[in-house]
Amino acid sequence: MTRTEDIRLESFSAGEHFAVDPDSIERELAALWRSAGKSTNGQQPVTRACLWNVVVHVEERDDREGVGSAEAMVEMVNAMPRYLAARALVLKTQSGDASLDAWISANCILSGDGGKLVCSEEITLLSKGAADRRLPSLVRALLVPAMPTAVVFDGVPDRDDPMVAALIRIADRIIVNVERSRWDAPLERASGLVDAVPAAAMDLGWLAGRHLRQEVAALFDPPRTEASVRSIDRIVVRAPKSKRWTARLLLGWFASVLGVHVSGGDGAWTDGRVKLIHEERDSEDLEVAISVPWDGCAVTVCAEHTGRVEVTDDVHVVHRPHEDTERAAFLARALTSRGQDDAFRRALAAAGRLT
Amino acid sequence: MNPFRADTPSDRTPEPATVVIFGASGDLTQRKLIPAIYNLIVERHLTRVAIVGTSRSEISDDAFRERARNGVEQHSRGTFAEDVWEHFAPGLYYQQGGFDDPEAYQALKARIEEVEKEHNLPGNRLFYLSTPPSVFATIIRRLGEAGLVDPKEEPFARVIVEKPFGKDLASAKQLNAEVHEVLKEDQVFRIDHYLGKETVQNLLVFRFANGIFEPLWNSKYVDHVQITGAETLGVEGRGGYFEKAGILRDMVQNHLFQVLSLAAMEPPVSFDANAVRSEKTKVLQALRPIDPHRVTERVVRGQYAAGSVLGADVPGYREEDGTDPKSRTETFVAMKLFVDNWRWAGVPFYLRSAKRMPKKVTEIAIHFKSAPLPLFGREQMADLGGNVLAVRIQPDEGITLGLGSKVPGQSIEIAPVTMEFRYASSFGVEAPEAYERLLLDALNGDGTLFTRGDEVEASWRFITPIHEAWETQKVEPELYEAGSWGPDDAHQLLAADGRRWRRP
Repeated sequence: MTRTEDIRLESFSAGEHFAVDPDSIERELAALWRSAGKSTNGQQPVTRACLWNVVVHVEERDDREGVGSAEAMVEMVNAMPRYLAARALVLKTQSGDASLDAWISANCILSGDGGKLVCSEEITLLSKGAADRRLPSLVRALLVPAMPTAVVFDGVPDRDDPMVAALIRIADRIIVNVERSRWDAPLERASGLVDAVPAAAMDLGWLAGRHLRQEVAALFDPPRTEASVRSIDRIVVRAPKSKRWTARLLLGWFASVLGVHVSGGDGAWTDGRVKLIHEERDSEDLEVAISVPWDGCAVTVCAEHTGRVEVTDDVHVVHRPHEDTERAAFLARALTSRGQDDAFRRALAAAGRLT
Repeated sequence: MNPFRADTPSDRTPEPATVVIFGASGDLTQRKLIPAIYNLIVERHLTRVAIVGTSRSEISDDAFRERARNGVEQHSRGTFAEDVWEHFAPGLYYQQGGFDDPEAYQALKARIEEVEKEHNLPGNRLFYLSTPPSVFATIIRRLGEAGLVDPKEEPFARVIVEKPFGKDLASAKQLNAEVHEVLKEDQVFRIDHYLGKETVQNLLVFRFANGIFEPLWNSKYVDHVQITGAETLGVEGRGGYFEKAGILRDMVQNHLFQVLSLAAMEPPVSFDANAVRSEKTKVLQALRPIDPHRVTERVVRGQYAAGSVLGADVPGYREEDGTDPKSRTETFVAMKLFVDNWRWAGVPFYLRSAKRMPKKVTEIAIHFKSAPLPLFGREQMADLGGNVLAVRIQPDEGITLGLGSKVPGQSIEIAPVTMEFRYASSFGVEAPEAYERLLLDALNGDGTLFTRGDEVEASWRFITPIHEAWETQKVEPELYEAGSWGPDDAHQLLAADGRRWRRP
C-alpha cells in the first residue's frame, strides 16, 4: 500500500468525507476497502460490515415534510454503527439549480474483542432542485446486494412525491416519525401509508416509548388479573405539545389492546365504559395515569424521563433505568425486531381514529 | 517443448508466436487486445511475441505503435512501464489490406515471414478476427488459400473468432461448415470473454474442488437458480448494430448461456478442453424448448424508456442514434428455463439480461430450498429469503452465502447475514483481464474456455425459435424506465411462481 493510500484510508476510517463522482461511488469504496485488505503496516485492521441498507432522507427544502431535522438525522446516522452494521445512504434534498453531488465516509467502532475497527459505510448524496428525481436510480445502484433496505423519513412521507414513491418501492421497511410531521393529521396519513405499501413500517416515537409500554404491561402481571384490566375505566396521557402525536399513538395502543371503539373529540374519547384522555403539559416527560377500580380505584402513573421510567402506585415509587435514549438505538431495534409490528399497526389504526 | 519450463511458475508460457489481428484499427484492439498482450509480457507469461495488425485502413507501423501505446496507457490494468514498452514496441507491425483481396493475403504472408525472421520466431501463428461477423468466413477462406493456416501441429496456426458466431441456427451452422472447410475444430477458438473471467473459472473450482457443495447442487436441495447480466450502459453509439442484434443475441445466447452451462453442467471426466465442453454442451442440449405459442409466458421482452442511471438522465432506446423510433428491438429479456436432465428436473432457471439497469452486475444465485419445518415462525423465515449462494462474476468478483442468524437478545429474532469471499480483499491483487487469460490459452492451444461448434449450435437451437415467435407474433417490448430493474412482466414472471428476483 502506498503512503497516499495509507493516509486516505486512515482519514476514511476516521469518518472523514471524501467527495466522489456519483457514478463512481462503488468503485471508490471498493478501492478503499482493497487498500484496507492490503494494510500491513501495523495499523489497526479494518473491516466493513453490513446487515442493512439504511436510506435516510434529510429534507432541507422549505415547506416540505421533514424539513429542519438535518442535525438529528445526521447524528442518528453517525451513532448507528454502535447498534447496527449498515450501509447508510443519506439523501439530502435542497432547493436550487439541479445538481447531484456525492461523498463517502466510514463510521467505525472498535470490535468487541478490541482487535479491529468494524466500519459501516456512509454515502451522502446531495441533490438540488429537480435532480431529486435522479436519486432513486442512484440509490438502487448503491444498495448492498440481497441485504434488506430501510427508508427513514423524519415525518410522514408524501406518497404522491415521485422521489418518495420510488424510495418506498425499494423499501423492505419504512421508518416514519409522526411527531415531526407537518401534516394536519399525521396519524391518519401514516396509517394510510402502512396499509398501502407492502413494506413493514414503524415509527421512531413509538419505538422511543417502548419502555413506558413495558412498564404499563408489567403493572398488570399477576397477582393482578384480567379482571383488573377489564375494570380500567380511565386512561390519561399527559404530554408536552412536542409529543402530542406520540401521546395519541399511546392512546391508540390502549384502545387497541382493550378492544374499545371510542368516539369523542377535543382530547377526550369514550365508548361509554373506558375514557381516554389526552392532556397537554409543560414538562417534557410523557406520563400515563390509569384508573383501575377493581383495585380500589387505584391510579397508577408511569412517567418516562430521560434514561428511566418512574412508576408510582398508591404506595411505592419505583425507578427503572433504561439505556436506549438515542434515535439510532430505536432505529436498530426497529430493524432487528419485527415483534412490535402488529401492535404498532393496530395502535396506529386506532390512533388515527382519535380525531 | 522447452524442458526448463516444466514445474516453473511460468510453465504456461507458450512457445514464441506471431499474433495477427484482423480489424487492428478497431476499438477492441486498442482497448483490450494490445493491453492484454502487454500485461502478459509484464507478468512474464509471454517472452517472445510479435504482433501484426491488419485492416483496410492505411496506417504506418509507427502510427500503429502510437495507437497501441495510447491503448496500453489508458486501458492496461497495470501502470505503464517505459522499459517494458521499449522491449514490446519494436515487435508491433501493421499491414494494410482488404479482407477479400487475395493479393493482400500474399502481402500479409510475406510480412509475417519477414517479421518472424527478424524476431527469430518459429512460425507459430495466432490469427485474431476482431472484425464484423460478416467477413469471418471470407477471411478464413482467404487465409486457407494463402497457406497461412495449415492444420499441422508444429508450427501451429490457430484462429480466434469474436462473437457473434451466427445470428440464428441456420447462419451458425453455415459458418461452422465454412470454417471447417479450412480449419480443424482444434484450430478454432470461438471467444466469449465472459469465460476468461476469474470468477467464471472459479465456479468450476468451487463446484468440483470442494466436497461440500456438489452434493447439494441438484433438484433435491436447489429451489431455483437466477442468473443476471445487467449493464448500466445503453447502446453507446452502436444503435445500428443493436437494432439487428437485440439483447437476446448480444448477451443471452453467448454470455449468459455460457454461465448457465457452467453452473448446471455435470462434473467432467477431466479438466480437458473437450471433456469440459462436452458437459457444457449437454446442458444446452437439455434445455426444454419453449413452445412458440407460449413464448410470451416464458420470455419477457422489454425496452428501456427515458430515465436516469447512476444519477444521470438518459434517453430512451428509441431516441438513441441509429435506432428506429418505432423499434421493437429488446434491450431487456427475462426468461424461465428448465434443464431437462436427471440433476435439474423441475428446477426453474430464471435468466435476465438488460441494458440501462441500475448497476452493472453479472451474478449467478443458487436459491436453496427452505428448511422443511418453519420452526421459528413462517414470517421470520420468509423474511430471510432462503439460503442463497451468489457467485458474483463482475464487478467486485466473489462468492456470498446468505444465512439466517439469531439476533443477540432474549427472544428468537432471525436476521439475514452473509459469509463473503471477495477476490480483491482475499488475494489483494486484481484479477487478470479476461482477454489476457484467453489469449494465453489460445497460444497454448487450450480450448477449455472457448466455445465449441456444436455448443454454439445448441444455444442457437434454443434461441432461434424465440426470435421467430417474436417476429411472427409481432411481440412488442414492454417499456421500462432506464435505471429500474426492468418491466413489470419480468417481476410477474417470478411472482407467478411465488418467487422474486434477488436484488444483486
